[in-house]
Amino acid sequence: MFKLAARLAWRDWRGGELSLLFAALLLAITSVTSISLFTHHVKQAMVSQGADLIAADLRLNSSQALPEDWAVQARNLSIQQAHVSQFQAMVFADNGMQLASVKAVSNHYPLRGELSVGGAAFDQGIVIAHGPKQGDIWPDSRLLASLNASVNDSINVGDLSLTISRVLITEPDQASGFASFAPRAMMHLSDIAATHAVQTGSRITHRWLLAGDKSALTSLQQQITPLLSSGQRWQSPTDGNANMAATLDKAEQFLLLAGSLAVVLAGVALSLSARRYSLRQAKHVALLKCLGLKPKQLRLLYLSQMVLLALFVLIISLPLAWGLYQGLTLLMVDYIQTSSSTPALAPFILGAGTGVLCLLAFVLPPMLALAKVAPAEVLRQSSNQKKANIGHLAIGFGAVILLVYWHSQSLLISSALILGVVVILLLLALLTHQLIKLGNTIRPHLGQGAKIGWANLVRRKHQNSLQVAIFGLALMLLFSLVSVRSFLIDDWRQQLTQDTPNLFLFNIYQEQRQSLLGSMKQQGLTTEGLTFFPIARARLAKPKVDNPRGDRELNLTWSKALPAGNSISQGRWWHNSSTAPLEVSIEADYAKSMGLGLGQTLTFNVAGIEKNAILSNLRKVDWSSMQPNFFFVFSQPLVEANSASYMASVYIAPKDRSKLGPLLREQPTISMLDVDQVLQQVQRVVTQLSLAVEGILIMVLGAGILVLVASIQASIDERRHESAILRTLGASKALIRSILLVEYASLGFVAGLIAGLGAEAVVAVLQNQLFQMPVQLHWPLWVLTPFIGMILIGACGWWFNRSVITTPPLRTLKQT
Amino acid sequence: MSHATPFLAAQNVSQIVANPQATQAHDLHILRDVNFTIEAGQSVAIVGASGSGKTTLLGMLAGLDSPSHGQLFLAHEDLTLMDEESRAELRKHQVAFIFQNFQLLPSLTALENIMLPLEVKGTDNANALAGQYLNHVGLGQRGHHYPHQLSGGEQQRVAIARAFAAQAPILFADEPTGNLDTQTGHHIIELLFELNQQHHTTLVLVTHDVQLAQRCQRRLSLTAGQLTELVDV
Ligand SMILES: Nc1ncnc2c1ncn2[C@@H]1O[C@H](COP(=O)(O)OP(=O)(O)O)[C@@H](O)[C@H]1O
Ligand SMILES: [Mg+2]
Repeated sequence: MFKLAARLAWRDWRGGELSLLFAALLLAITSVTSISLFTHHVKQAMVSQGADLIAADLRLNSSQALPEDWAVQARNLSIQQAHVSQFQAMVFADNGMQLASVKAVSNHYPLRGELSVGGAAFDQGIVIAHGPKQGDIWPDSRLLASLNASVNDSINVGDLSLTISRVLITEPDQASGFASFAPRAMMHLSDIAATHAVQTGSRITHRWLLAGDKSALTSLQQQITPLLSSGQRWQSPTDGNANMAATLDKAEQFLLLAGSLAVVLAGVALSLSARRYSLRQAKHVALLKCLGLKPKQLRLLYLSQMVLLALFVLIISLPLAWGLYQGLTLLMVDYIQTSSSTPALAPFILGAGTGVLCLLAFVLPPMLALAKVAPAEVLRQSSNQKKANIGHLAIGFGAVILLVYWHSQSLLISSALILGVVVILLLLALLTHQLIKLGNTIRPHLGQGAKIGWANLVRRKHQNSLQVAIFGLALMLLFSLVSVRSFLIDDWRQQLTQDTPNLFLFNIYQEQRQSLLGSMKQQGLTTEGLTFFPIARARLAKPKVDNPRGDRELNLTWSKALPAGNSISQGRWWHNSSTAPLEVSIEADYAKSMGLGLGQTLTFNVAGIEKNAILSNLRKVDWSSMQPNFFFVFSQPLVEANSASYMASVYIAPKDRSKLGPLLREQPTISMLDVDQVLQQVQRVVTQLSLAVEGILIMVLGAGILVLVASIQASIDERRHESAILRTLGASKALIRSILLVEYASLGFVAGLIAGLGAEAVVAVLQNQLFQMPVQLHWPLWVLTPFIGMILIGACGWWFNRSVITTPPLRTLKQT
Repeated sequence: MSHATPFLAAQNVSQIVANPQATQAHDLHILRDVNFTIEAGQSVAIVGASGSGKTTLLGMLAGLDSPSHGQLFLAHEDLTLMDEESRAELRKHQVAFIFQNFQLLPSLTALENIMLPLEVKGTDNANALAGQYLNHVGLGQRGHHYPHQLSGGEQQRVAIARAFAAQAPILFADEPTGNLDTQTGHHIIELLFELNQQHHTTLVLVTHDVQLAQRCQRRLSLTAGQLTELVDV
């Protein structure tokens, strides 16, 4: 039986019967596998970007020194380690002194990311592999400027004299929050003791940097986590940096979405070609039955054919997917890098699994149903006009949802897609009927070709509905993906704008604001877009929160208006802030992690004075905006105007960076936080991700176009036959061409229309729920999509049917 | 033969199909109360106007379709009591069929079409045997051509060769010489009767060819679904 199956399969293959099925399966497995491989690659790149930000794959932050034996455990697992200790100390030079944030690093620092140094303040940095050696110190540009010192000078940290060997330009793990306003310096870890700057009880933070094999890190983390005390906390690459994490998260969602769409498209392609194949096989089956094959044997026959086909396709598609993925990463090698390039097994399993499941869900049911074909079918010219089997469609639909969920692990994406399909089906049911009615009324006024075209459309009502549903589905997926990509890239592009602030200025007093602006102008620095935010430092006194994030000095601000880029997630913003009691607005996630709820009265200790404020609303903050963002915003000033301190943010162009030294000397009391490096990191990541998104988009678009082509091809057999008969009856080429154009263009128009509306529904859900963005309607989309559909499908239909017009009709008739 | 059941027979067979657009009254009666018995080794011609139900009757005798009413016997078995599974088994060993519209598989070459019944039976030297049958019908040189490359008459000859290759004791032929010129038609008729005489194959053929009908031992005539036996005067 298997031999017969193989023989028949070979003959079908040779005759091109299996080629569409083969192509669809190949497309399914290849696209899902390669997209998944690429997603995996991008994710790895994202993690390694995140790793750069904490200079490690995993970090333990601790307020006390770590036990010796933990390092031994890590060594036993072959994990690389480095230690960093950070403390505040006075730094003395001949011409000045300054409180600095000193970072003492061990030999192997940094494990991930790059450290860069220069020969003078605000130099362009050169990458260097290790931190300073014992006896050396690398102050940053600001410290150097405020100390009036230069390279090769000696400066004192506490009791220890150290030589300035270089200037610190960038650190991978520079804190991006506002916790460290002080200028910075880097020295060797073993010099700490000699400074005597760190006494028992003084504030010092320890960081244990780890890098290595993921499973080793996980097992170390599992061993140590139960031993952690309250001041010790793990930090993974992505929770280091809020704006980076937000960006990466959106990118990941997009990749998952795109992959899921590839799955759906693959399913559609397979179901179409399976339908065509089984229709064409009906005759074979009837004949084989006449020759005495039993239904059971026929089922076995087709089952073994499917197994053969699946094996064959797997053998080809998996290496093909690998090659495609290699090609794509090669193209992007300058933009997207990962630390390790070990191929992951999961994408292959996913791709192969998708293919096999699609085969089981889409191809097997119609194949098995073939065994039911009555042998008497051979006696008649059997009609290919079979309605789609609702049961089979339901199985396929269920399988696709299952696959999408498997792929995305997201109920949201799955339900958005279900919603899209439901919208399409509803519109379809509504529209088909109306359009046919419309057609009947306008038919008498049409030209001859259009008349026959319309008549054909009406006659093939059921088939056409299926066809429109499939065109519509494919177009909807493509439209959704394109518009998700557009709003995502737009959103990111805002972060890429040239004048995003890269310098934050602190400790500016009320009356100092004018003189600062004056100094900046004098130095030739732009003050455009510079706004001042009032700041007070305070502690949350009541309720006592059991979270280290809340139990420390906080930076607070106050404002009448909701800060730009913020949105209220719960409660209401204040209207008349001057008369009402003091209210406070807290960032939603922060409030949640502190266990604070709406309506609660909170007590803050502001410079020794206790103030009560009602928590009146929770805010969502766009962390990817790179604007000054605050966890706490109050409705009224917390301190007297003349004792308030202000912060401001401004963009400094690279060519102007050398002017910062003089500015600092002129305004010595003002602190600066230079986030240029963080910003550049974010921009680099955003550029990479935008490219990755485009790459994926192109792959999925390709898959979508192939589906359209497959579905048009599936509809062609019958039309070819008809056209050939019309030709023998003397119809001109022009007439046949116009019949086909009318048919396909109208199908395309309707498909485009419902696809546009379906895409709108899908995108609205995704935008609102998945990407946490405000919903926008894209009306140009719905106006355009019917015409896009009309042109695309009209052109495809015409192109694939052109052979009917050019080949002699007899040949066409004999072949069908 | 000691069998109580007839070798090949129809008893009170009717076939009624519902008219898709109308009520009971308009049901289409393709066959009405057909009765006859055919002995093993006989040759029988069924004649009648186009649309009189000949193809329908032949298909039923071969177990390809079930009647609305009545009983059918094939190789002493009551077809109406059998399920599709056992009817298939019976066809495999007992029946060969030449279709009016040939029913060659378009994706198979002429030779492969002929090999098909041999392969279904699991015969070893299918290729060589099929070649012989192709020679019989005078198409030895066309084995590797596909159906669409052959003329109607040539396709018919391939279909005939395929039926011969089945080596079944009962051969049904639906207008086997309909598309053939007189000379080729003669040749095919000779082959059919050779089979009938040498292997005692039972022949049941539908034909418009008077000459072919005359060579058969019996002639049955179908008129609007009703069967009568023509007796030579
Ligand atoms: N499945 C069917 N549905 C409707 N009408 C049928 C069906 N099968 C056969 N007929 C009709 O029954 C009549 C006899 O058909 P057939 O047996 O093919 O005639 P013949 O072979 O004698 O030319 C024809 O009028 C045909 O249209
Ligand atoms: Mg007939």
